[in-house]
Amino acid sequence: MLTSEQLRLLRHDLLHLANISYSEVMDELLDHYASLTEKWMREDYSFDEASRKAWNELGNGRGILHIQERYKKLLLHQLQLQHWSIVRRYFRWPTLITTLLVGTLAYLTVRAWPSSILSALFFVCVFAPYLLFIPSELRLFWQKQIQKRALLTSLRREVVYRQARYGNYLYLFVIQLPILVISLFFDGTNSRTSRPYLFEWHTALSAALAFVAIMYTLTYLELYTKHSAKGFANA
Amino acid sequence: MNAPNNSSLLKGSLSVMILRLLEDREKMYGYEITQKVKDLTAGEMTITEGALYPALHKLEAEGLLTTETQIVDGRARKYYSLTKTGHTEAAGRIAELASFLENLNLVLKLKPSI
Repeated sequence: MLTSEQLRLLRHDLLHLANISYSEVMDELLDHYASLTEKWMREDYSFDEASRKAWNELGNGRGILHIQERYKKLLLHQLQLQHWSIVRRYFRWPTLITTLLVGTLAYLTVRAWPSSILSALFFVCVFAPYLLFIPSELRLFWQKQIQKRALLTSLRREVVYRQARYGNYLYLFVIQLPILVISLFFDGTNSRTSRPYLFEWHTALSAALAFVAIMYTLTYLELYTKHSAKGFANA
Repeated sequence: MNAPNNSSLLKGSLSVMILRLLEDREKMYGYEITQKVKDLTAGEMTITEGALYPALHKLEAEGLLTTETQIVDGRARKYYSLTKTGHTEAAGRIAELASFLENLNLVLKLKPSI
């Protein structure tokens, strides 16, 4: 059995020579690295020699980093599939009823609200997923900057956070792109130059956009809840 | 997989091997799997960590494996075990590979025609 100091040295190798930065990957590789080192130590090698042999068996830094990269890609892909499956569920019986009600409510509400409020609401909806991370961000900041604790990042947390980028795309396509296109193709004589936001064009279009924003927020919330329940490691 | 000549041959069957080993044992951790394969094949076949962990993570992502972490000898150890779907899938994949190997064997043992 390795001492805590020996484990610390092995952990140091993984952190600084292989650049392992996620807690989930670190735990698994540290156990493997330690088991290999113990195997060589049982064959009467010193800790230094045994750990060197184990390190070579593990594939040195590059091979180990490759494991981390593949795990990250796999989790990201898996999360996208899960998010898409949640979205599809909203259009299946019996959730479809709720979806239709939300759609109808969106249509009835947007008729009464000015487009500036709708734009603001859309903005809040598509960026709401980022707000979910504020408590854990603050906690991380406290642990890293104030308590000066060296913490690894949680891979699960990072991939869930990355999935929130679809909100950026929605914002880009619905708010930014129309403004850009209008500024490029209209010279100011067209009436639409004074109405650059899609929310100002047609009630049905506004309702559809509001519906997409609400759906995105709800599905993301479900995805976040599912994964945060499994734990975001240190965060 | 690391044995000089069989790495590409074994690439596609690694996940089936993992499923088969886990069918036999309630739970196993990464290092234990590599050692078990080495022991069973008398050192003829070795699985590298670079092949093993991505395969384990993929099976976990597919919902065929579930994990639990325990503290052993002062460090966290991640154990993998088959889920209910994993048990069903394992039986299917093992049968499929066995049938493939049987057919492959028939072709390999082909006697030269006179």
